[in-house]
Amino acid sequence: MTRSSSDLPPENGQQPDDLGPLRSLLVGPEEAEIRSLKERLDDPAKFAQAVGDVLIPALRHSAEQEQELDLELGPPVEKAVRSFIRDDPDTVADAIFPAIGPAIRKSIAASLHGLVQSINRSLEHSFTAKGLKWRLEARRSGRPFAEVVLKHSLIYRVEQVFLIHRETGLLLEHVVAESVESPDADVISAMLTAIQDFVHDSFEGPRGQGLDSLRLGDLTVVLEHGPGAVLAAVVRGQPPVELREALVSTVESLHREYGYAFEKFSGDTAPFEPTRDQLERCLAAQYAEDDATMALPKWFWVVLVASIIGIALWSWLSLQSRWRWQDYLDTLQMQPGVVVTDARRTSLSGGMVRGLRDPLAASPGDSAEAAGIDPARIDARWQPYQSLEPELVLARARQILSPPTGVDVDLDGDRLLLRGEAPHSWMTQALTLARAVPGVREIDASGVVDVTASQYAAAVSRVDGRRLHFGAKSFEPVEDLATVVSDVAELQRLAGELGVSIELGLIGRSDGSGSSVPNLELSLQRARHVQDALMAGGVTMALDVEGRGDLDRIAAPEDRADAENRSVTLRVQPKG
Amino acid sequence: MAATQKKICMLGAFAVGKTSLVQRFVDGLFSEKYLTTVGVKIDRKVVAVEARGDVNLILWDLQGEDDFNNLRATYLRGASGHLIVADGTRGATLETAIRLRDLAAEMTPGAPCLLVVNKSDLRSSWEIDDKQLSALSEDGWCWLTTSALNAEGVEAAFEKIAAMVTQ
Ligand SMILES: Nc1nc2c(ncn2[C@@H]2O[C@H](COP(=O)(O)OP(=O)(O)O)[C@@H](O)[C@H]2O)c(=O)[nH]1
Ligand SMILES: [Mg+2]
Repeated sequence: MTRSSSDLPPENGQQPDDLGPLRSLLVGPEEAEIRSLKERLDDPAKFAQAVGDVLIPALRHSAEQEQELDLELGPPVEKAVRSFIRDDPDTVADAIFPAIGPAIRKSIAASLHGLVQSINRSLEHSFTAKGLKWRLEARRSGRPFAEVVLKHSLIYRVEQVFLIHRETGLLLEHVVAESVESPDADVISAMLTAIQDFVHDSFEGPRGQGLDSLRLGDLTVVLEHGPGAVLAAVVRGQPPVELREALVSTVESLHREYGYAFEKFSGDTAPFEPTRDQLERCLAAQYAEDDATMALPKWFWVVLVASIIGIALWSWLSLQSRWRWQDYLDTLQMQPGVVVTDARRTSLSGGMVRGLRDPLAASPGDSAEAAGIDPARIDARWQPYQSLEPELVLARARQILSPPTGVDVDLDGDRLLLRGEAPHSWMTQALTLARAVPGVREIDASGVVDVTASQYAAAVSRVDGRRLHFGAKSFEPVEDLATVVSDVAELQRLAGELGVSIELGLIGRSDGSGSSVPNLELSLQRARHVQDALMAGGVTMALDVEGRGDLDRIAAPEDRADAENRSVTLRVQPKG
Repeated sequence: MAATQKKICMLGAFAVGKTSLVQRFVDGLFSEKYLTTVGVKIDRKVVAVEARGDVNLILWDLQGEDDFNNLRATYLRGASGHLIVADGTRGATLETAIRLRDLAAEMTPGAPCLLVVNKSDLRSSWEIDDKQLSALSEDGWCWLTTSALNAEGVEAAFEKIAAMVTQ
């Protein structure tokens, strides 16, 4: 206002000033009043006071008229409430949720029943001090044990993630953490939607904006809204800030991919199955670290179990090795001709032994193998000695006597027993040698048959009295002399072996035809012929050659009388 | 979740038998506690529809006190169909049903409505007569009668709405 206070504002800027008097004439009496009004309007303080005086009655009046004031005041009030909710949603949420909280908690708790039970089962047998304390707390508070355990050990765990169609509240997809069961996910989805609708209606919030979270005791439902779908994560414990970020980015990426599908959704959830991967990435958990029973890292258990197995295995192997070693020493000690002076196990599979060993004793390697020990792993040093144990005495006697097959050598105390058939030469030697065997004092050879003697007797009987025949008036024998020669040579060898001195008589004869003198000559020639044959055959023993002609006739049946007398007869006789 | 999901609203005046019908129909009751607070009770039932396979009906049982204005219209959003329940023994509940159908048509254009006239076991004391019902048919209503008490027509009603929403 730039005009003077005496001037009233003209109705028209072009109006000339000379209308002033007319005006003052017309409105003069009210001019003062108008001026005072104008002053009130110009002064904000005065104006405010004036409006204030009438506002309350005016509102009251208007309320009686209904409609209009609602229409006029509605939008600004709504705007104010909206911005209030936007600026401080927690206060609003906290104010409303005590009322609905118990209901939804009950429905979600029902779906968590399975989890609680499975944890209960798995912890049933844990009897740590802490476990006992928690068990007491569970008993005192009347809550399931598993819930108490979760309360103490869990920082947070995202147990379920719902992808909810915004328009219909229908469940598009749903994932749960391990051991959580939620058969009523579709109903919970609708309930969450109903609750959001309720909050919207109650606060007239903008449709694009909704509840951030519901707190239901230990459980929190964290909600993230998109234009087509809502993600709801059911969290046990304190939800971390990162969860919100994960939900936001998941909602955004789901809308990029499925925005159109959300719009066109009419009840068929199949197209949303591939969202599971993304939803599952929102499932996460973190456990308190001071909880020894739950927070010990996996490798610790692996190492622990491995060590237990290792120790058990080592103990078993070591025990077995100990047993084997003892076995080995026992058999070794029992071995005749072995004296262990020192022995030690130096590893699982080997050791060392020191001692005395008769070279004729069994090999110590055999004892080791019998006990299951590789002989090469044993460092054994044996001092040789001669044992007087019966086994060793006998072994030594056998070694020295080296009996031919057919001869048994045995020991009875310090008496050596010889049995069986033995050549004369071995016997004479054995009787001398046996006396030199340590540990043998007597020799009993009564059981030994001298095979040389019997062979000699047989040879004598083959040769003695043997008659060789000749043709009439001939000194050529009618039979081959080769067998006689070899029989005599054998007799000579056996006699030599036995040390018997013998000589062989060759007695020639002739038949009775002709005169006696030529017959005598003929008989001598016949004996000489045999002598020559024997000597040519290698016989060196004394041969006593004699011709008896027809003087000493051999009695025989008539027809053979003269044939028998055309002969040479062999006669074995002691020498001298 | 192989079955197609459909949101169905139970609408109707106070005490016409909405909750009883759902109770009669579904396998198990989910929760009733918060019904009065939030104004809705939700249940589920899988119904086999010929040539359409299984349909998972998510039933929103809306709390309608006799005052029609108390209904939270927001809850109708996204519904594929509505079961509008009237009480045969109270003629006024049919008036409410008609108004609810208009509301449903406004909130969810194209979603079919099935009128269920309940308490057929009390038919002797019905205020709604056959003439009124045939007039409804002429008016384009789809309707049937039920009794939550003796289960008559209950299955049929839910199967019918399931079939209607999968057309
Ligand atoms: N006789 C009879 N009573 C019924 C029937 N259906 C419901 N009622 C009764 O009607 C009353 C109201 O039922 P309710 O289901 O709570 O109605 P709502 O308010 O629509 O959910 C209850 O006492 C029921 O027992 C019916 O088919 N026959
Ligand atoms: Mg009810």
